Amino acid sequence: MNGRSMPSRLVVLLAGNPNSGKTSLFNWMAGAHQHVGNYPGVTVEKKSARLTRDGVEIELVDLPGVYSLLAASPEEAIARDEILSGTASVVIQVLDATNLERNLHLTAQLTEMGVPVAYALNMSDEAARNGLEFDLERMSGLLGGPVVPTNGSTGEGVGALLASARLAAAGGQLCPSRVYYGADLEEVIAAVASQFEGDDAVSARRRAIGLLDGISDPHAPSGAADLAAREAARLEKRGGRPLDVQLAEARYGFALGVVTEVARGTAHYVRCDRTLRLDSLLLHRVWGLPLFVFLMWIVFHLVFTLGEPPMQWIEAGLGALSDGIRAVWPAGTAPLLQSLIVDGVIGGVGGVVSFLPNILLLFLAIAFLEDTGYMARVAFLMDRLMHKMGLHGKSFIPMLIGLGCTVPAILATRMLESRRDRFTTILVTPFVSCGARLTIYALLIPSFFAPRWRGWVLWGLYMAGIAAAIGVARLLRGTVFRGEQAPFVMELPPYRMPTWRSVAIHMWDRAWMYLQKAGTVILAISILLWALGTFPRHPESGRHELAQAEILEYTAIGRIGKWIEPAIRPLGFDWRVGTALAGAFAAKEVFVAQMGIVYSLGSASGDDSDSLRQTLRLHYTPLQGLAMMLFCLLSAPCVATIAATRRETNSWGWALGMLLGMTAIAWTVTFLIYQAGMRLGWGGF
Amino acid sequence: MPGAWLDWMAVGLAVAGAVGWLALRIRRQWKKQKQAPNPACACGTSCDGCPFARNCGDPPKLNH
Repeated sequence: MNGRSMPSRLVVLLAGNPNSGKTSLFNWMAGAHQHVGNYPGVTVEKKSARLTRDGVEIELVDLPGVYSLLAASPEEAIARDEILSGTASVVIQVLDATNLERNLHLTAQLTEMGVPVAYALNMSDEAARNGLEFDLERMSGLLGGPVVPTNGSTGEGVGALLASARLAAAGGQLCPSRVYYGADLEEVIAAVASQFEGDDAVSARRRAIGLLDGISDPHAPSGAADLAAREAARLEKRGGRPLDVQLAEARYGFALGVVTEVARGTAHYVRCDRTLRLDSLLLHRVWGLPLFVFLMWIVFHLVFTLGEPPMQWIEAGLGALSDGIRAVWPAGTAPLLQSLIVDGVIGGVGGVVSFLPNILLLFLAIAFLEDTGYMARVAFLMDRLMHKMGLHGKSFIPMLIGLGCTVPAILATRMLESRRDRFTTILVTPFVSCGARLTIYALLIPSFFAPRWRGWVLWGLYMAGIAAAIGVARLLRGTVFRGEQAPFVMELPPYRMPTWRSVAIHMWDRAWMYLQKAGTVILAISILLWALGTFPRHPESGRHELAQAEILEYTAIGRIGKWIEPAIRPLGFDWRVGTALAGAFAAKEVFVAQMGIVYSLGSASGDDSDSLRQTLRLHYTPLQGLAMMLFCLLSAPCVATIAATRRETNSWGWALGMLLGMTAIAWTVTFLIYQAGMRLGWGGF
Repeated sequence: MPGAWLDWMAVGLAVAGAVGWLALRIRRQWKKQKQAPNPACACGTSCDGCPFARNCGDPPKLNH
């Protein structure tokens, strides 16, 4: 926001929906100075006027009344062209206060035009008679322009409106909220926008959205138009509805979000519509948040109950595969290749693959809740709580993305325009359990907890992560990142039932990528870990009396584990867990792979019929299992997160600070919990 | 002992292959990050193709 000196001449465009009172206000402003003509080449009437106010010459143009700027009609095309002509100093949008939500759909598009906007909240007297009032200051912050109440019948507010418009034109406006179209669409918008190399960011984004909206752009690079067309078709197929509907839903979500935040009073926007009926329940001031907590508990409970049988089938299959491979070699021989395949590949990769059912179930649930529009409500519900912690509710959206992976969650903080909010959210989002951590929980929870407690433990871990994120955010906002919060719009898209096709496609994509990752990255790392866990070989490894544990401790992985063991023993971890935690820094699933390898290598040949879970139960207590999960929850997720943090903060200091800070928090909390549990005699629960 | 020799060869190739593949992948990701055309794209990170990174995959290509 750069303040400029007050210009001596302004071109002011008056925009708004039909019947918003725009023409009445124009008449009050223009008086007898108006001129009526036609826009070139069309029969659409053009009304303009020249006037002088406080020494400033103003050319006032009354644009045709339109509901959007999609250029679907001559009127819309004219309005859009005039706004983008480069001659406009400021746009005044006239909003009908008695029908605000509908009017704000146009606002959503205006904020993308890159032109200063001031707002006339017209008919606010009529709205007040209906028991509805608005927080003008908050609305001004959310819309990024001054909001002035006006009365088209009496001319009240016209002087203040022109003064505000002059101020907006002089660059004194606030930063406007940008409509957030959802992660999928935003990714496509960014890709199309990148084709407009000569444009600034605002123009590139506007033109990209225009192409996706089907607006003709004759000067767009052919690459941009082709890409937009292809991606539009893909998103339409995936979403099961036209792309312009998806874009409109986001804009209406923006509109409803604004109205929900600024409307006050006894009247409600009572309409017989499903969205608002559901919102009255799901956004309830008292019951909304507990309802969300309860829904998440159901999800986590189902992840285990429904995921258990397929997980056991996969484990049985892998066990049979291991036996089959062992049978290829003569009994009593244990050549290296056999160990590599059985202990390394099947032990490592198999362990990760066996949790595919749990991963898919959680993703299915989250995708369903997101696609219905419910997750946007959750962010809204969290807003009140987040404000108390010094964050905006919109910071919760990256955290929701973090339920899948922390890296795109960190990238999603770009939607937060305040540096303070962005940095705070980047630093705390890794506390939210990502999908990769779920593989660790899926291994350890059934190993140590009875079926009736599994859902609770998983739910508790996720809630603990969110609580840790909010707590650390509070600390950061009270110390390093003090300051006022910038206002943001929290979009409330309409509810919709996702198509089973889109859900099935989403699940298939997820499953295939999971298996691909297991078959490539995890496979390669497992082979490496197997080698580290096999070499160097103990000089007396042929002796039967030599314990497997001793043989393993002689290897590279054993030596590394032994070296770090003193630091982790107070947490209840042995060197095996230490090597798994170290490997998990590359990718969290490696924890599972490494435990599988270490215990497979560490068992006597041919005697590893027990599943990894049964083996863990024999070697560790539930308290130790809980300590492992807590440490994994609170420590830095993985090297990719550190890399993403460094990119987004442009600072190694913040990235390494996150790594060290989270490690310290994880070590301290785990130490306290484990030691307290031991003192209370809960080693075995 | 040709059997033992083949055993070591096979294991050696597998381990060398794994190390080489990981090294090439890290190098590819690093180059992608450097060359990413639009920093706003969630691409070029080391989570490309990761199933947990819902919107972190490769950006739409011109030649699908």
